[in-house]
Amino acid sequence: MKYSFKISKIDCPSCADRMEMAVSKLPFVENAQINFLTKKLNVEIAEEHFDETVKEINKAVSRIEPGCKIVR
Amino acid sequence: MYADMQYFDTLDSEQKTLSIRLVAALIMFFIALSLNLSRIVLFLSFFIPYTLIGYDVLFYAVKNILHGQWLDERFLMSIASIGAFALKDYAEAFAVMFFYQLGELFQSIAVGKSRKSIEELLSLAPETATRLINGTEETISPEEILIGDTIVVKPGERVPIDGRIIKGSTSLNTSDITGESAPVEVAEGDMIYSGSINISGSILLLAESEYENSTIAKIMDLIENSAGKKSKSEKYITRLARYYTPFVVVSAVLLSTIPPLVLNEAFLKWFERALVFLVASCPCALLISIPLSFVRGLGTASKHGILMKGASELEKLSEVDTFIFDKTGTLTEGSFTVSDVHSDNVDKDSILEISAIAESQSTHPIAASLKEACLKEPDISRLGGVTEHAGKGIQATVDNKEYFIGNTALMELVNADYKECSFPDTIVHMSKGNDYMGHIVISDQIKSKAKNSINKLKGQKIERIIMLSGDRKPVVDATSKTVGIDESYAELLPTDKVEITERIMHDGNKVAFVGDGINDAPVLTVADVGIAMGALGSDVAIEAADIVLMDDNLLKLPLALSIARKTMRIVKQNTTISLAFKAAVLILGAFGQVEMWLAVFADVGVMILAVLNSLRTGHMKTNTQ
Repeated sequence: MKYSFKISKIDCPSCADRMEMAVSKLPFVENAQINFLTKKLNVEIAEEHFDETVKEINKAVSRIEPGCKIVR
Repeated sequence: MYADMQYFDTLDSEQKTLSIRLVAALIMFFIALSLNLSRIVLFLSFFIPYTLIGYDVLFYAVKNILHGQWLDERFLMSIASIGAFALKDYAEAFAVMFFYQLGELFQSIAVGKSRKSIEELLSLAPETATRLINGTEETISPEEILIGDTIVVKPGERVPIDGRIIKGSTSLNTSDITGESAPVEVAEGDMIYSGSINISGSILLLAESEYENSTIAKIMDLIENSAGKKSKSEKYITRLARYYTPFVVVSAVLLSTIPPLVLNEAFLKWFERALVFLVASCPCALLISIPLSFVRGLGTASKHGILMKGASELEKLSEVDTFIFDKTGTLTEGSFTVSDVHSDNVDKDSILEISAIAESQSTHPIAASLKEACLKEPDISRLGGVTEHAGKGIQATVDNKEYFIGNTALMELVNADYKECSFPDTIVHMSKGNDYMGHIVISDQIKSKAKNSINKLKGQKIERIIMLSGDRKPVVDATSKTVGIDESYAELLPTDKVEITERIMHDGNKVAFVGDGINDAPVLTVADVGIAMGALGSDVAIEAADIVLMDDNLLKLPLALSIARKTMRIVKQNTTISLAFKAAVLILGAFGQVEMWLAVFADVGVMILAVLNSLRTGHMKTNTQ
């Protein structure tokens, strides 16, 4: 199912690109797209694995941009 | 001084802290330079401002390394500056960190401003609505509006929903949506659209849509999404950037190891050059200026009521060399009026009367003109069944007799002996069964700005301008002559229009199709760039088109073309400058001609230049009157 999240902190376009790639590599994730200027993450997540996937996404993005989180 | 302080207030807290750190560290640095200190004290005098300026960079560099992020630019900058300290180039070490952070601050401000401009465009969304229920007014959010609700819009308020005025008259300010500053007069019975501002009088609206399907919601959606989708150029640059950083870092490592071994030279000399490479490893200038340029271009277009669905559509428009226009409703007003009735043997008034009855259920503009021309109110009780013959006309039972109303193809279908008309207008033939009765001459108005717009497009080096129409040849020829179009095709069925467009595209042309959206969805989808005009209220148009014009001012077309082309020019300039500079720094750096601080300085300088360059689309000559 498609979800749209707000990204709390993302100031550098290469970070946005790396985040998009990192999120795309996660399991149960499809079609991850990060809109750097509107700070949005559009992604398809398998519903049954929603909670754990969101946790993984948070881990992945904070690895690239410290303190960064995604919010519904 | 005061202006600087005012500007300072517009920064967010992180940006403010960074600015203060930059200034403080810079002062300390200059003190350190001027004092003639020795050894440890000398080291500290540079190390302290360095730490002030770079503590967060160093901290996150370490943190990210622990997470395995080797190519993090913070890490690379840290290595480079620490390396400089190791080489006792204290001033250089500071300069590297200083200019890097300066660049980060600038980037943060530029991105912040860009985001704010998008937010401003999105602030057109109405926040509250007033519903009238059982005589009392209640304040609700626009999302709560249901179809059929009565909504009150007072002067100064923004219209929250699409609807028909059921009471009152006023003038509306549509400039936020269409870019036109002239107020629009509206009265009872008029359909008005969400997003415009009510200027003078209070009105009551009958809501005809829910908020999420309203024009303003769709526009907001379009604007928000437009800022994200990557164009061809952006995708290309992003891929380039992915390879760039690893390439430079690997080169740095090779540079510090191979030449000293092969050439039997001092390790330090090549180590220093490798550090210069590390410092040039971030392609930030390039990466930041391109989306900013596109957003600027899209934003400028929006302010004129030209909504482009994304950077990709803008890019495609800039490449267009052919314009195809639909005639009715695009080049003409689409408001038909009956100008004459020709008949040998039948009373003219009864021809009009019967046609008005037959077309009473139709919403086609031609039907409207027939109804208008008939002086009496059409007596619908006389109407039996109505059958539509696509592309030909209609068949209606009036007073229990079969009438055929339409074009010559319909007359041929029923074997009516029709008479051609030489008038360059739309001709509607009528027969009773296969007895020809006569024909009605209906005229449309060519838009006053049509000729001027076509001229402007020709001036913009548009190679081919073509008109497509389902109307008869004499009308199409007359219209094209007046408007200045050399190539036109008449008597087309909707499928013909798609075919011709595809054929022209196949010839190698990059084609923009301009239509009014209602009937043109297939062609809008097929063309390289589909432009829907007067799109206020048409869902189908907004869906099918790539670019949506909020009003029907044809002069917006050459304007859209200018904006697209200028934006792409700026994007290309920024790309070239950024790449050229990077290449120069790397090459010169490998030969030891460039020092670390110069490399970072140049990097930041190019970024500032590119970002400032991207602002140029906002300042354009835009005359659409």
